[in-house]
Amino acid sequence: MLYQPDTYKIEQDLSRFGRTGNDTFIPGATEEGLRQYRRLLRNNINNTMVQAFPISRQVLPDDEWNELINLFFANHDAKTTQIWKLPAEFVTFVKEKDYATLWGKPWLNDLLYFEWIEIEVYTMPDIEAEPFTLQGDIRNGTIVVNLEYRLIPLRYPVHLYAVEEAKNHPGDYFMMVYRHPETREVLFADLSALDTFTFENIAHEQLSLSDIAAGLKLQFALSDQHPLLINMIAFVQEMMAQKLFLGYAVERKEQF
Amino acid sequence: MEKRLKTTSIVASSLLAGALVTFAGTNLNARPSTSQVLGNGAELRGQIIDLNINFSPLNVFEMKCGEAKPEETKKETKKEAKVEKKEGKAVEAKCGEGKCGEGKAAKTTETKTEKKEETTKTTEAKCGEGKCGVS
Repeated sequence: MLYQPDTYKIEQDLSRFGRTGNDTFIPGATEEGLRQYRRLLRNNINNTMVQAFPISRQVLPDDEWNELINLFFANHDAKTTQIWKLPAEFVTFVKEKDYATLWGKPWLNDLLYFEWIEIEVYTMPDIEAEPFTLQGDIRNGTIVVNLEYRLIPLRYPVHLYAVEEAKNHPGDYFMMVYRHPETREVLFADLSALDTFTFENIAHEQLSLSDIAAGLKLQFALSDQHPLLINMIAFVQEMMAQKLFLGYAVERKEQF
Repeated sequence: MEKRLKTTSIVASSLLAGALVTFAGTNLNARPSTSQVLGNGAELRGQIIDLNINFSPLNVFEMKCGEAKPEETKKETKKEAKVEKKEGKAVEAKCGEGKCGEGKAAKTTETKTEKKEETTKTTEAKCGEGKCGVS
């Protein structure tokens, strides 16, 4: 059944009032009722954001936090119909409006993203890894990656420092966020540049550690690839224990 | 045939070159910068929140070494709180033992006079504005 034009207008007015608090007239509604309705709506948005961004809530002064919530609620037309996904749009909104620069908080975008990514990884669809075995050749074997991960670059190390300290250490940081295959816990690791590069080559190119070390030796004219390989092995062993790497690929027997 | 390295990486080539500088020599045990396991979301969040609360330029995330610290500080604060409570109780107990009426009365009168002073001050402050002729 189609809306009556009047009904549509009332709905729009109510929605606009709920989001902005600007004066409006809605037939049959009391001023106090409307005020309470807006308060409840805003509480829902605020509570969702507080749950998603506990660190941001803590480090931002009340007035700035409330302003962010008000601006987002009033100006952002949500794409999702699921409230738990709204924090992702909040991250984008804050980044697009560049409050990080406006408010002199350069770490803000990284902090919000860092907090959101945990929810994203926790709720991501299951991705089945390739068949693997726990026994294998760490130097030459193909290492199987736990595919339920996000590797994110950060400009400010909000995952290592208090925000006010993080802003003194801008740089290239790589944060690995992944889901433990058994406990389903979301785990975090701060990866060095070399380990990040190693991970990418294992995950995307299925290269062995020997291949990666040889490639780097050639590309950067290193005198010896052995120390490099030792470093990579230590990384893979550590991350295998942490279940970012699951094991070694099982060689597929071709069937005729 | 040599396999090719990934050409498009989130690690810039210059950054990678910098990381590899350590390996140009013959230091077998060198790790230019190690990766760090940070634990699960709750642990990391707790640590970061603590860092932000107790912000000092020297506070850096250290999962393994720092784990005991929050408990220690909690214990310390608990101990402090207990001591404070005890002191408070001791004062009350003293009061309850015997001639507390006098002490209490004295104290209350003291506090009352203090309060009075405060109130007079506030009235003085207000005095300047209007009915100051009264005092």
